[in-house]
Amino acid sequence: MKKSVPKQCVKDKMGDRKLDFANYVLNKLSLEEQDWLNLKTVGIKENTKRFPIFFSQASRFITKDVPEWHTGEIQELNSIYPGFGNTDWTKQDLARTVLVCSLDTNKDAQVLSGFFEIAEMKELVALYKSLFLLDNAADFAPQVKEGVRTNMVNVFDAICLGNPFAAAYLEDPAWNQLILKAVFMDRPLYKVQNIDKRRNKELAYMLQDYIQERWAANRTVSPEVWRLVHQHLRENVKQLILAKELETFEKDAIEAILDSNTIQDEEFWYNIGKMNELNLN
Amino acid sequence: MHYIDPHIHMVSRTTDDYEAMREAGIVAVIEPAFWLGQPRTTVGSFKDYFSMLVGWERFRASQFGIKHYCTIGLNSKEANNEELAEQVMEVLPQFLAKEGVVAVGEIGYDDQSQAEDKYFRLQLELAKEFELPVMVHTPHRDKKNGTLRSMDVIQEHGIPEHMVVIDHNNEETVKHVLDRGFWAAFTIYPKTKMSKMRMVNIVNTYGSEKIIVDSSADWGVSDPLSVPRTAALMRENGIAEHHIHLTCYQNALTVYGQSGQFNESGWKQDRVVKQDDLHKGNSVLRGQEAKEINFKNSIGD
Repeated sequence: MKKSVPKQCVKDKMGDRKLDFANYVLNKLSLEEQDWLNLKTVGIKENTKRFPIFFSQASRFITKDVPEWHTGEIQELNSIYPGFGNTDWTKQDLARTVLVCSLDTNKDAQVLSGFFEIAEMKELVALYKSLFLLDNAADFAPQVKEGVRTNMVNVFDAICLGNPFAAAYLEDPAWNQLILKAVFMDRPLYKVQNIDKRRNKELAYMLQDYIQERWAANRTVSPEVWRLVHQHLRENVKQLILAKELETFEKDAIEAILDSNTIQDEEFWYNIGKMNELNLN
Repeated sequence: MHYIDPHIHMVSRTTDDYEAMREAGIVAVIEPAFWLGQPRTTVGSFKDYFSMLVGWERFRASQFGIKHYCTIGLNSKEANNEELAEQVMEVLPQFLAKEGVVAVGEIGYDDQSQAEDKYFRLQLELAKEFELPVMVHTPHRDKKNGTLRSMDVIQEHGIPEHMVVIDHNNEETVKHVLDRGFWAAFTIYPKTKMSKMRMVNIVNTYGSEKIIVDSSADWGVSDPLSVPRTAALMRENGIAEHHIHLTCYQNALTVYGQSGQFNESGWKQDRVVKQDDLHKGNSVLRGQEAKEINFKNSIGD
């Protein structure tokens, strides 16, 4: 059962959600790991300058196992952090997120943005995953916009997949670049949080240019892109479609948007995405 | 046969090199922080360089099935710009704490100036504080004295010999290094430093117990396949496999493994994903059979 929380209510619960998240995390750690994390959280609160070293040292004190969650826990976490269950979080990612949450980022935003400049690959993953939980998350939109430019796929995934930040805080041009880049990099669009809510005409047109370019070169496109073309299908692309022989789930995806009155639900596109992912592998 | 190249500057190498290295059996590399052929003028350049070693280069290597580690340090040449060196020392601890940083290095002497001596010593203290091994660069000029002096200073600072690799050895230095209980590494260059055949003779004379082969390949004339090629020449010359294993793989693993950041699970772990496990309860397989996908040496573990 998906828990839907009205926006205002989420805002009021801001302070609590970092705490709730931390409690779920602590529950999954060993006693030694809990002690370490509690100690470092207090340490950071006493002196924020310690944050970079503690954050890095999590790699030495917290394992990289992915904890198993009960259905109830995943539901709760998905309501605190929409999309949480769509990607793997290692215990290290989780503990690092708790460390980020222990900063007062209203006051110490500089500590965090300074650390982004010197973070290694896995650190960047955890940093980008954690931002959504911050009270002043919106202040980090420029950082995420910059992060989209990364060439490290796992860092890109941390921003793009199972992370509600981009849909919540990026403006259309940056959001559109994120999605275009995801398409170019063959990332699974069905894991992008709130992708349907951020559909827009400009993106749909850019993707149709991309489709034309690929088809002209006798190359294929991911059937997931049609999800974003929905209700903005151009006549010239429609003609190309009609002249083309389509098969299997690509046919399903395209037919789903040919009639702009039909609206397919998330589950439909989820299945298209999964089929495509299996096909790529 | 698997090899480790424990000293190579991959930021200067192409993807062709990565492919050839993996093909030749290199599974892991250590990239020591060094100078870039031209002095840096601001601390920001150092920060970005260190970040590249733990970020983009690490990712790039993973694309070719090679696990990339690094060492962090202020090199001896640039230690001579004291004003800048001070600022670099400020940022070093943040990088030394990072995952996959297996030593402080490469540090040591170039001209053997006073400033070089100062920052060498300060970084030896950092190695103690972070409980990391040390990779020592020995000078090209006045090599023997520079090597002896490096060892004196290390012992003066109370760092145990088993935590230290003295690199760029030759026939004149190796005996001193081994006699004093340090690890002795050799850089195999096509023209200068050490040749493959001379390396074969060194192993014949001194055995393999504390000897390490590396390429130090960088932006100059050098060979990223020096380690596997030297191993092949050892084999041709009848050197026993266990000597090859120690000098071209295991010794590097043993000494840098003391960092707690360098062990075989980094490259030996295969990950298997069962497609029907990907999302429970949601049937996406329309009549197809679920595949098992095997990610060899995948990144992220």
